[in-house]
Amino acid sequence: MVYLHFPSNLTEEELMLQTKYQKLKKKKKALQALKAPKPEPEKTPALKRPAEARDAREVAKKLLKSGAISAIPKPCEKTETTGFKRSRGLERKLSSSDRAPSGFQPFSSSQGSMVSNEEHVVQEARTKSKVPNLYENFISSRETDPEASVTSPTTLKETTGSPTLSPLKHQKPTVGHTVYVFGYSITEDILKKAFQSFGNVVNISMEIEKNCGFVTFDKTSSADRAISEMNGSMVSGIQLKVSLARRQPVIEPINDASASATWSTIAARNSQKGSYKDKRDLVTYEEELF
Amino acid sequence: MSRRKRDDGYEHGYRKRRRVVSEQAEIEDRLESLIIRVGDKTSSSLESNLEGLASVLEADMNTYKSKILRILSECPIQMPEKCTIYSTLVGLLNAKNYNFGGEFVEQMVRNLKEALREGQWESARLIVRFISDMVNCHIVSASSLLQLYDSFIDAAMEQGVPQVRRDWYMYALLTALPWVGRELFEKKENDLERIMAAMEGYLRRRNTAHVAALRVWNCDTPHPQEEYLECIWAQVRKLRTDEWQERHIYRPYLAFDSILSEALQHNLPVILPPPHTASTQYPLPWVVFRMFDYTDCPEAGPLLPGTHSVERYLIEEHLHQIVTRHHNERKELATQLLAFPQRNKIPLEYMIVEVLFSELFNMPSPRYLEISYGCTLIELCKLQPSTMPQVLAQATELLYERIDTMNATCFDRFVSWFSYHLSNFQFRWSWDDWQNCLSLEKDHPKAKFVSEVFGKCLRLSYYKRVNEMVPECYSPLLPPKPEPYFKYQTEGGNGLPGATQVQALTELLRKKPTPEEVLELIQQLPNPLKDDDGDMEPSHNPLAIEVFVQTLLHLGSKSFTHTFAGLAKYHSVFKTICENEEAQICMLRQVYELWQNHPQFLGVVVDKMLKTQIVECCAVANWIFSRDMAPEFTRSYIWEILHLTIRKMNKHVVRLEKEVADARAKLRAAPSDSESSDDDPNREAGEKRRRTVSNKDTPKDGEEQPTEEMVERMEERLEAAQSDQKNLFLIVFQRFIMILSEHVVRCDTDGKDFNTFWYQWTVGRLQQVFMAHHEQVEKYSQTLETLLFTHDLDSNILDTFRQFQALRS
Repeated sequence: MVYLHFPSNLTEEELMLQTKYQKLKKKKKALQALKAPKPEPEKTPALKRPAEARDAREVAKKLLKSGAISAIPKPCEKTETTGFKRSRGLERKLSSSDRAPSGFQPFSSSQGSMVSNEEHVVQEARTKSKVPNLYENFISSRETDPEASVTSPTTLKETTGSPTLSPLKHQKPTVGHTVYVFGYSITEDILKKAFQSFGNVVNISMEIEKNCGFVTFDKTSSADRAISEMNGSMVSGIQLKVSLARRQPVIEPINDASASATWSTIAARNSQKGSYKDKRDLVTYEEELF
Repeated sequence: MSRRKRDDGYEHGYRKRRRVVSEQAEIEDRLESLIIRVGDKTSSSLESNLEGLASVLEADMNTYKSKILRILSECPIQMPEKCTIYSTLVGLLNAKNYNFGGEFVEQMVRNLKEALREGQWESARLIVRFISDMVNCHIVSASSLLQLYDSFIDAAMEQGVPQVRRDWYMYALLTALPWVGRELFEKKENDLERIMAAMEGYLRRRNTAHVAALRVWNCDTPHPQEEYLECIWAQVRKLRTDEWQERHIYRPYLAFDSILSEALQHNLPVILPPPHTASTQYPLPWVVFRMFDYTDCPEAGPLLPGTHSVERYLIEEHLHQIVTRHHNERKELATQLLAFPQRNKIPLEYMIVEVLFSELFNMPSPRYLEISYGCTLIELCKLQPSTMPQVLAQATELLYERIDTMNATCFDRFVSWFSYHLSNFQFRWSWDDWQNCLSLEKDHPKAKFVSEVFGKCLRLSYYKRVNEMVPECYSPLLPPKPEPYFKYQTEGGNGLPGATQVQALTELLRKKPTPEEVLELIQQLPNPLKDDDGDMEPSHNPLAIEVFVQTLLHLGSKSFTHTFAGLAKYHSVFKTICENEEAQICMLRQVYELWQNHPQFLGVVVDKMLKTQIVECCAVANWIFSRDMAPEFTRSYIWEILHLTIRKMNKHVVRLEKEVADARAKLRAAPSDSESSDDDPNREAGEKRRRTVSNKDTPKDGEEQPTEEMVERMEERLEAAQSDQKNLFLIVFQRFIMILSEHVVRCDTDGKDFNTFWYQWTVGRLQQVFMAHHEQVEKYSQTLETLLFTHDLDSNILDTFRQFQALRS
C-alpha cells in the first residue's frame, strides 16, 4: 500500500511560483486600468475613416512606415502596367480583367487587393469632389462602348453558355463528350469504324495535317470507354493516342430535335473548314472550242 | 502617329484662323454625341446621366438651340428603342425651360406633318408614338393628344379611300397605346374608352380578303396566324383588361416624377392628315408569323409571352428594329440581337429565331436579301453554340412538320435557307427521322421538300457529296447525275433522224467554222413540216434546230464559259433559224432535252438566251406551260426560270420608264433656262441641273440635251416594252387559268376531288407570280380583271386574284 503524502508546507519552488502569479495578477489589473480611459488605442488609426482623400493617403503612408501594412505587392505589378512597352497579350489580359466595372471606378486599373480598404476611402472622396463630370462620363462610355460590343458575345457566352467555354480557359475537363485522337495518317473513316462501337458518334472532325481528330459521342460514358479501351491500341496499323479533348463543347439538350447535338458541336468548333476533304479529281479543259 | 504629325506641321498655320469656328463645331459635335449616346451602357446610372445632360443642354441652350432641337427631334425616330429616354430628357428640359419645350413640340409636329406628306409611314408612326410618350413626361397635354387621336380616327373612318391608308392610321394609334395607355386611363378614362370603341367598330367592319395571300401557312393549328392589325388589336385589348399595365417598357421618367409633374404642358396644334392622292403608296398589310409557343421552350427557362400579350409585340418590334439597324453587318446584327436588354427575362433564342424567320417568310417579299437572314442565323449559332443551333434544329423540325400547309413561295425560301444552312454545317442532319417522306407521293410537300433540298445542296456542293450525305434509302429523292443527255450518243442514237448531220456538224464545229458555213450545212436538212404539195413555206425547220442546238450545246457542255462562247459565236445562226416564237419554243425544248438532268445549267442557258435575245420572254412562258414540260411542272427550277424571265422583262420596263422620266425632266428644265431672268429661283435650279449634267458627260453636252423628238422616240420604245410586258403577264395568267380549269373540269367529270397536290402546287405558283411581281402586275390589274379573271371563272382560281387585289384596296 502506498500512501500519498501531501506536506502542509509549500516547497521553495512552489512559493516562488505563487509570488510570481500574484505579481502577474497585479500587473494585469494595472494594465486593465490603463486601458479603460482610451479603449484600444492601437487599432483606431486603421478603422477611422478619414474625411479627406489626402488624410487617407497620409494614414496609409504612416501605416506603411510603421510596418502595420506590408509594402503591398502592387509596385511590381505597377511597373509592368505603366511601362511603355507592353505585349499585346498583356494588354488584352489587362483589359479583360477590368472589363466589368461594377460602378464608377476611376482607379480600377490600379486596384490592388491588399489596399482595397483605404482605396475605397480614397475613391469615395474623389467621387465626391468630382461630382458628375458628365462629358467624361460619357466619353468613358464611348471608349468602352466598342469594346463592350466586341466583348459582349464572349460575356454572353460566359453567362449563358458557360459549359462551352469555361473549360477552355481554366483547367482540363475530367468528363466530356469529345475525345481527342492522335495517330499518324488517320482518316475520318478509320475513326468512324474504330469508335462507333462505343456509342452513338455525333460528330467527327479531323485535323488531317496535325494527324489528329475529334470524336464526339452523345454520352460521356461512351467517351470514357473509348479512352480506356482505345488509348495505345492499334487500328489499321496505326497506333492511336486517345484522350479527353481539351475543348469540350458540352451540349445540354434543350429540346428533342435530333440534329441539335450535331449542329451544336459543329457550331462550337471555331474552324469549320478542314474537316472535309474534297475527293474530286481536278477537271482541266485543254481544248479551246469555238 | 499620323495625327500627331498633322498637328505639328501641316495644320499649325491654320489653327489660329479656324479656332473660333472649330471650337463652335467642336461643342456642337460634343453635344450631338452626348445626346446620341445617352442611355447607352455607362458606368453611372441613366438617371444621373439624364439629369446631367439636361443641365448641360440647358446651359448651352441659347447658343445652340437649333442644333439641339434638330438632334433631339431626330433621335427618337432613328433610335426608337430609346424613345422613353428622349421623352424624359425633353421632359427635364421642358421643366427648366418652358419655351424650349414649346419649340420642341412644334418641331415634332412639323416633322410629323412632313412625314405624313412624304409618305414616310414608319417615321410618322414613331413620331406619333413619341408624342404620346411626351404626355407621360408632362410635355404635351393629354387632352390635346386625344385631339390628335381623334383626327387619326377620323382619317381611319374616311370613306372612299383605300383600306391600306385607313389601316395605317389605325395601326399608328394602336402601337402608340402601350406607351401612353396607362396615363390616359388614369386621367381621361372616358375618352380612352371612346377611342377604343371607335377602333373596335373599325376593326369589325374591315375587309380581310388579303389575309389568305399573306399567310405563311393556310392553317391555324397549332398557332393562329393573325393579320397584323387584328393581332395588335387583341394585344391592346388584353392590355386594357390588365388596366394598361405592361412590363416591358423601361420608363426612366418615373424617377423624375416630382420634377416633371410640376412642369407646364403644351397643347398640340390641330394636325389634319393630308388627303389621299392616287400616287400615294401605303404600307402593305402583313400577317404575324407565329411558330413557337411556351410549350416549345425549355421548361426551366423563362416563359415565352403569349400571342396576345402586349409584351410579345413590344419585344418583337424591338428585335425587328435591331434587324433594321444592323441588317448590313451580320456579325454586328447577331451580337446586338443576343445582347437584347431583357435577355434573361425571355427565351431570347426562340424569339430571335421566330423574328428572323418571320422576316424571311414575309409576304410578298422579305425586307432584305434572303441570304442575309441565313448568314445571320449562322453567326448566331457561332456566338451561342450551346443553344442557338438547337433552337434552329427545333425550328427546322417544326417547319418541316407543318410544311403541308405552307405556301409555295415560303416553301421555296425554306428550301433555299435549309440547304444553305446545311452547307455550312457539313451537310449534317438527322435524315433518319425524316424517312417517312419516302413512302409519300412524289408531289407531297414533304417528299418535295426533301428532294428540292437535295437539288439545292447539289448546287452548293457536288454530286458525290450529296450522295454521301444521306442514307442510301433516300436515293429515289436524290437528283440525277448532273450531266448533259446527248441522245445521239446513246444506244440506237445513230438511227435517229439527223444523226448523220449531227456527226457532220460536230466535225465541222471542231474546225472552228464561220457562222455562214454552219448555216449552210444545217439548211440542207429536210424540213419535216413541209407538205408534199409544197405550197406553204413552214415557219421553221424543227430538224435543223434540233441538230444545231443539240450539237452546239453538247460540244460546249463542259462549262458555262464554253457554252457562252458557243452562243456568242453562232448568235447569228440562232437568230436566223429561230425567228419566230414557235421556232424559239422548239429550241427551248431541245435545250431542255439536253440539260434535263441539270436544272441549274438549264436555267443559266435560258437566262443567257434571254439576255442575248435569242429567245423572247413570251416564248419562255409558253414553253413552260407546254405539254412537254408537264412532268417537270411541280419542280421549283421551272418556276425559277419563269420568275427570272418576268424579272428580266420588268427590269427592262423600269429602266425605260426611268430614262423617259429623266429625259422629260431635262426637257422641261431647258426652256426655263433660255427664258432668262423673270423667274429667278427657277432659272437657278435649271442652270444647276444643267451644270450637273454637263459635269457628268462633258464631251457630248450638246447631245445630252434631249429634243422633243428624242423623247417621243423613247416614249414609243417604252410603250412597246410595256405592251410586251402586259402581253407576257396575259400569257402567264391565261395559261394558269387554262391549265387549272382543265384540271378542275377533268376531275369533275371523273368524279374525283380536284384538290390534289398538283392542284395545290399550281395554285401556289399562280399566287407566287402575283406576289413576287406585285408592283408590276398591279399596273395591269384592270386589264386582268376584264380579260381573264372574270366572274364566270372557277371561284377557287378567282380567289387568288381577289386576294391580290385586296392587298392595296
